[in-house]
Amino acid sequence: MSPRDDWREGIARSTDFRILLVAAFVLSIGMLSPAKGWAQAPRWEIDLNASRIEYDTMAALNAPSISTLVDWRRPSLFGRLSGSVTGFQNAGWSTQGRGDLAGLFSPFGVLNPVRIELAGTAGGSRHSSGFNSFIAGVDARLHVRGRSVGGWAGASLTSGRNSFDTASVMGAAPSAGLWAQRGPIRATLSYLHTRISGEFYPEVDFTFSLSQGALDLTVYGGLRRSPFEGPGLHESWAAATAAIWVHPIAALVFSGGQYSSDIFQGLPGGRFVSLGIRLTLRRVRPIPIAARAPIIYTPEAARAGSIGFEVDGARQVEIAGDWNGWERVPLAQDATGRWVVPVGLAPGAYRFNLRVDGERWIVPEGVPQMDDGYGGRVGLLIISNQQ
Amino acid sequence: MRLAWFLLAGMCVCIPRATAGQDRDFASSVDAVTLAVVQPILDAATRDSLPVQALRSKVLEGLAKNVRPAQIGQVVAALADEFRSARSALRTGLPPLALGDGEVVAAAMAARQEIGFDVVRALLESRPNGGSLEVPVTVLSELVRRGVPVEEAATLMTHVVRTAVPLGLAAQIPGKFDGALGAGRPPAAALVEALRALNIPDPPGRDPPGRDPPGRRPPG
Repeated sequence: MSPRDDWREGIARSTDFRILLVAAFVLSIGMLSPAKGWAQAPRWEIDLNASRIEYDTMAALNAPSISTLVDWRRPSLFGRLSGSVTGFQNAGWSTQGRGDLAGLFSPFGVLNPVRIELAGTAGGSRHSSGFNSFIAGVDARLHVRGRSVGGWAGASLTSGRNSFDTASVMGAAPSAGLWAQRGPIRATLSYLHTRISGEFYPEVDFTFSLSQGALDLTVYGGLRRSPFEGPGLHESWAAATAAIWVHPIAALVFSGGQYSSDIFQGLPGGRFVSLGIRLTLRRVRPIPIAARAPIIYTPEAARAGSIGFEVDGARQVEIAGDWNGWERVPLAQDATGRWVVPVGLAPGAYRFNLRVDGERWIVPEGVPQMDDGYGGRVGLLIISNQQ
Repeated sequence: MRLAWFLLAGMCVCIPRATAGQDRDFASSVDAVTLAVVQPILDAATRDSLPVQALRSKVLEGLAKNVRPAQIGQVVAALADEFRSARSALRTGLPPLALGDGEVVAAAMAARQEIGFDVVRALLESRPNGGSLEVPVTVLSELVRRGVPVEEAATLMTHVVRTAVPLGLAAQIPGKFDGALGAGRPPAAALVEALRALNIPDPPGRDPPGRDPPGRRPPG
């Protein structure tokens, strides 16, 4: 029997294809339906992957998978749902799911750099053998945010269990982190001091992200110390994912590396390489594009058609607003890199948005803005009639 | 006198034509399903003398952002209700002609920042020359959004309007405020710094921190 036949037999024997079909059907309907339903459509991605995985507890095996991710961002709310179905060569199949919800509060006003974040997470997995696991956690953080650097300190409480153990594992961890962003690059460093059953598991994690042109690259890794001595107890891991966008709605995804064990759910770590395709309604960059603008424009600037915006890393910027019935007008860049509005506007107040790279509608930073009623924000462009 | 009648007659002929032209432009920009949803709302808004152009813009904004017709209808109806409340509240005790569409829109937007209509009405009453309040009310909303207490921002903007501070200058207050705040000043001091940077006199009764009381300044 060839390896291909071996794989097919394994899948046929142990994978209920109806689950995969239902999942694919639901996800496909989901992909089609929100196009007209969301003003600020959420990020919605489906990955189809062919992977080779070597868990710490078993030999390497082939593993096709389908996974999806939806996230929804508002200025003070963030939600994410993700899930996957994976078939394993001669080893059944598994499903995984996870939900995250976080609220951001500005107790000292929106321009004050201090934010409070309260977040909750719940997730679980199920294997065709009957094994299942569950995890839930809450997290509170105090953020200090600058334009390009920031940090946080907080604490989390996490509980997990699996069907092999009768008791759940509960841990508490103070945490702290730093981040920095410059143009299309962002780096994050965080520290967790997890305490489980009186023992400490200190952990350092890093993430590096780059979004430039057609490439979205994420490199992440970490180091966790165990209170016990023994082979494999101290863990280190690192992995990378590169998405190359070959079409506005499709990317080739390459990933590989190691991932850590999950001490709350009792899931093993492992090594993997994966090749896949990512489909989406529109590309959403992992690093939001920042834009800056002054708050008020002079009549001279309006008359000369020299109103412009800085939008970091944008390839295409369009403007739409009250003055022309919300028709999108492409902007051209001047010598300094600003995107220039090619229309002279009469004095008044206009509602407007920028559309960047055909993706999301944004409001340039610094411009007066308000809820647009459609799930996003709309900016206000003021052309003063007096000097 | 004949010239006045001629102009009046011309206005009567031209204004409906202009409105009809705008109606046609709007109708040609909107698909039939959306038009069927929003037209009754716009008709009611026209009857109530609400800022119809702002409502039409909201419809076109929704279409540009690929919003479903039903949701556009909900948003536009809610906006019309906000305009209705603002117009009704602001008209109390004011001559009808004193209120333009810009004021109604700005007051409705200010209400979203929990700035009461009484504050906006006080601004309307304090303007010496009947000028537009669109920019002052917008600046007021922006200051409140930045954490300045409503009373403090309202006192400042009433002073700005009453003393006829150029609107181009007033509109720069939030930007200067941002700059001071970004430099680490607390909100109250940042507002003082913004006014100083723009050479706008303090409103009466304000005693900003860090400034010498009258009589203690060195002569000259």
